[in-house]
Amino acid sequence: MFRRSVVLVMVAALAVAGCRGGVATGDLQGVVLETPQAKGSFVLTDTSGDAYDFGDRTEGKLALLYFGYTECPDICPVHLAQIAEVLDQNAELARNTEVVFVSVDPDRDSLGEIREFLDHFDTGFVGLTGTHEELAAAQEAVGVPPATISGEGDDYTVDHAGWVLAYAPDGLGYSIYPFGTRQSEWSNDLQALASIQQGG
Amino acid sequence: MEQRPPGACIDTTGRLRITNPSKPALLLSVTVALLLGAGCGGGQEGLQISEARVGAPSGPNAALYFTARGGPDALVSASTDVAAEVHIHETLIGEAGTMSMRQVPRLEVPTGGELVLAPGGFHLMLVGASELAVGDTIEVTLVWENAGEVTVSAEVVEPSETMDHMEDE
Repeated sequence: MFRRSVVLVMVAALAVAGCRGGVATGDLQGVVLETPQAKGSFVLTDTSGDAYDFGDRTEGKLALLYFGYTECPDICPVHLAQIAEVLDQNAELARNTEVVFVSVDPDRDSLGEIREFLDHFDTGFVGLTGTHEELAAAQEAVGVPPATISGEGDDYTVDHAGWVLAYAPDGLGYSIYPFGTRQSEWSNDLQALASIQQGG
Repeated sequence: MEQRPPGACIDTTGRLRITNPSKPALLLSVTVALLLGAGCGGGQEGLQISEARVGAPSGPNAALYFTARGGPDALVSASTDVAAEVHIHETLIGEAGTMSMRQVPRLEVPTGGELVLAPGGFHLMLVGASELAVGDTIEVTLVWENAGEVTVSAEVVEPSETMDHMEDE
């Protein structure tokens, strides 16, 4: 049902806007979900210290959501750098995209550290965190396994979902992006997803 | 500038510099010649390290990647002036897609095979290396079971460029 309505929406969009190329989820190169997922709703604290309602703030936009932590040197920066690179090259896409990074390491990551971390990629990226309970609720709301702490003392690491969730402007998630997604796949899919508009 | 033979050279400090890793036979002969000629102690024939690179840190830690061939050997530790500590790490991807990072005691270079450190797999975590920036070149001393200490140079690149090795394959 979701797929049919999406197709209808896209047909309408094509007819009205003459959208180039036409987009179907078959064009997506990420891991396409069998059933599109409704966007989960949660509220966390952004790097300015204000409440951030994920559902409200990303409405009508392409939303990319990733859970990680700033001491993660390996995969977190690669995901974010890849996304930043695509948005750098497409100002219109960047304007209509909200990239949201949630730190699941609130004991070590201060709001300022999260901001500094994200500014290495794009000063427009949104950084969020919260209490352990709020973070657990957020992860549950979007259907990713909750992050867990491994190890002891200050050197602990955080096990977390390794993929980026993507929601098209129509509020549905059609695909996810595991680590190892190539730059060309990001570029293709962000443009494809951004063209799936809500409301027809 | 001093002319270096194509392939590689190991100077008397054990510094290994790879300039043409695609010619292993030549590399081996150059290495042997240098070992014989320079009396280079501690080095092992044929250990080749290429594609050493560091992803520019966005947090307190940075990750170093490289490829090593010419085993058998095993990396047991590493150090650099630009980081308080260097940990040998493995990123694991669980069945559910969960990423975790573990410290591992050693990394083996199999005989006839290669050890690849790349995003999403093995890396050396440079702890407290937040000052590094794209374009910097750092020196890291790798300690091998057989080859002993080998110092390599690694350029700091954008995080997305650390993937290039994987993209090429």
